[in-house]
Amino acid sequence: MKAITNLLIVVLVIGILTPAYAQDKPQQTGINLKVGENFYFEGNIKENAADDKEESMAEIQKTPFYKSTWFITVVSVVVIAGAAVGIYFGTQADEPEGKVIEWNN
Amino acid sequence: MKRILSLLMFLLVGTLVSCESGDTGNFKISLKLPIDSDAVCNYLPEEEDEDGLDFTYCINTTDQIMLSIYSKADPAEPYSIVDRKLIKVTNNSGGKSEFIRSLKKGNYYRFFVEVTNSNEKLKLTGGIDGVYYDDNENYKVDIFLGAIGDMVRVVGDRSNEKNDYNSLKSYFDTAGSKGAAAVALKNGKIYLSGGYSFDYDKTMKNSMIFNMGKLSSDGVKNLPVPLMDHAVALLDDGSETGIVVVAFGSNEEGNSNSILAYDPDSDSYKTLGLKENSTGAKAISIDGDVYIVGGCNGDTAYNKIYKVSKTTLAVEEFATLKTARCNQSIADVSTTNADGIIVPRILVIGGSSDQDGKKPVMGNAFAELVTVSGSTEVTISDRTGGDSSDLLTGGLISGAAATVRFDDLEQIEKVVPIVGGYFQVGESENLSYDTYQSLFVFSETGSNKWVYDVNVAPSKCARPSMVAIGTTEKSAAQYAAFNCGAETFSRESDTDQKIYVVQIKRAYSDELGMNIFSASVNESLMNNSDVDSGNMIVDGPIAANSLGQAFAFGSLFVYQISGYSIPY
Repeated sequence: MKAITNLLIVVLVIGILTPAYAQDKPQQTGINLKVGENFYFEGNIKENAADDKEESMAEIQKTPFYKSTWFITVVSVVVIAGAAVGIYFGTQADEPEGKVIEWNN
Repeated sequence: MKRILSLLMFLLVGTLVSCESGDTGNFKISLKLPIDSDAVCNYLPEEEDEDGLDFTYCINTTDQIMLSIYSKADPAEPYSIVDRKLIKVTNNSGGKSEFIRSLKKGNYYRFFVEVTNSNEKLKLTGGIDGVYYDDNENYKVDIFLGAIGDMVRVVGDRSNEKNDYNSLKSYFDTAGSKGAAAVALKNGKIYLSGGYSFDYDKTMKNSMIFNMGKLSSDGVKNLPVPLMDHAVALLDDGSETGIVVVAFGSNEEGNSNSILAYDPDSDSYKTLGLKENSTGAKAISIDGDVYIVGGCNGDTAYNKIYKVSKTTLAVEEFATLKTARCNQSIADVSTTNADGIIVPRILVIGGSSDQDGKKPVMGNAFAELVTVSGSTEVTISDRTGGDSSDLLTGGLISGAAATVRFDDLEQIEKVVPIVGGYFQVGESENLSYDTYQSLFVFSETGSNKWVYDVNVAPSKCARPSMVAIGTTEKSAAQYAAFNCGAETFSRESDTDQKIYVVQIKRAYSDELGMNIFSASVNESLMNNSDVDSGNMIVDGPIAANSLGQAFAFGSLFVYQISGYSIPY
């Protein structure tokens, strides 16, 4: 069970972080042109996923929070939702990220 | 709890690392159209082209894109093909396709794109050369497509609103230039140097390298002295770029005696040799070595042919012309022996025995063939054995020659189109110099015997430059592009920049009852009058890269001419 929980957490974390980093590619510089107007600027979107820090780390609780009902419920919901989202996007045809050729009219 | 948090932190760091490392090695190629696509392609209909609208330059759903990928591990080696990917266009507004699973780290890559229409007619090509791949980097590479047989200013557009100021520019200005020189480096970049600027009213010492992959230009180390009418050619020393050999030339102080080497890697010039002060010499690259032919200083002409060795950069005397000359046309007509060794041969045609180009080389001295064993005069005639164009009596000065190679038949044949130039006309007390719409094709018919076929160019070009552009393998038609320049003998009158593509092919002449070489200038795909003029030249260089694309200079802007293929 623990291993499965860890695996789901990994899936969730990767699911959150991957889109943000996938957009963070260096942009070509030094070009000044007009022709075509078909430059492909992906937009340097970088969602600040790293801001989602767990403030609960500083909390002192008599009962370990991870044994509490509310925590288990929240984690379960998040894990299930994350898994659903992961499965959804995982089964979609991905846009090629690696070696691509593109053109715009 | 601590264990869970530690695990989470560990997973987070691990995820970050894996994300970061997995985000490198990407390679994106963007195809750039030679037009303002907003003004044209956005009106592209889904199925058929509408009458009156030219969507030649758009990539639409009836087209296919062929991406050819070449690689090499050593820059000194030739490219070999790795993969070819045919991409069907499914959307009029653009598309994206994965072209290869992996590229090898440490390899050099060349990409060439061909866009064909529904009739399988090639309409757009473009490519990029010398891309070094490192999987620790991400790459975004632009390939600027040009229309076949067309002339396209590299970065200009053809909408109603000209965007000249976004165009790639040389160090010249709108009033144009004369006597500049250009050559393509091995990595596809283009070197331009010197020339006389009418805006600045002086001979320039600027050098510039154009990166046609990024459409950027970099001013590089200046020539040691201002130069015009200098000869340049690329020496292949095995490096990634090669070495540019710059020979002789003139400026306001006189003629240069220097043979220089420009090394793009170190951005420096060094002197390889000091010879006669001269100008109007011509240089050519054969099998990686550079040969410098002739030159004049005032009324003195020189007959030396220097060879700059690709292995030592040493300058040696290779041969001696029978008749000293400058302002001549030269072409590489080398052969390959049974062992696969290239045997250098240089065809030398016309020229003058004086710097000003008023004393044409004529008669039996008109043409020579230079080999390692010396130079011999060549018999020149038209197909009937006569001289219908009076080349032997009027000379041919400053014509532009190129070498095109026919490989469609069993025997490979090199022929030499020569466009433009000027001729001496009139009697001795009333000599003048005239230009015609001349376009000759010289071919070898026997030992030291060459014939010329007469064709017509669209314009008079007094001092043009010409270069072969890429043609498909086994093609019965070969192509060259030329930068016409002004039509008059005087180098003071300028003209619009006129660039043409000439097609050379075998044709049967009913009149002569034999096969000849026919040359014609392709009808342009675009209306050249759409290009904003006002950029004048007297004469300018043209250079072709290893992708078979030519780049023409002379005015403020840089012009690209797309080839039909990577040259074979």
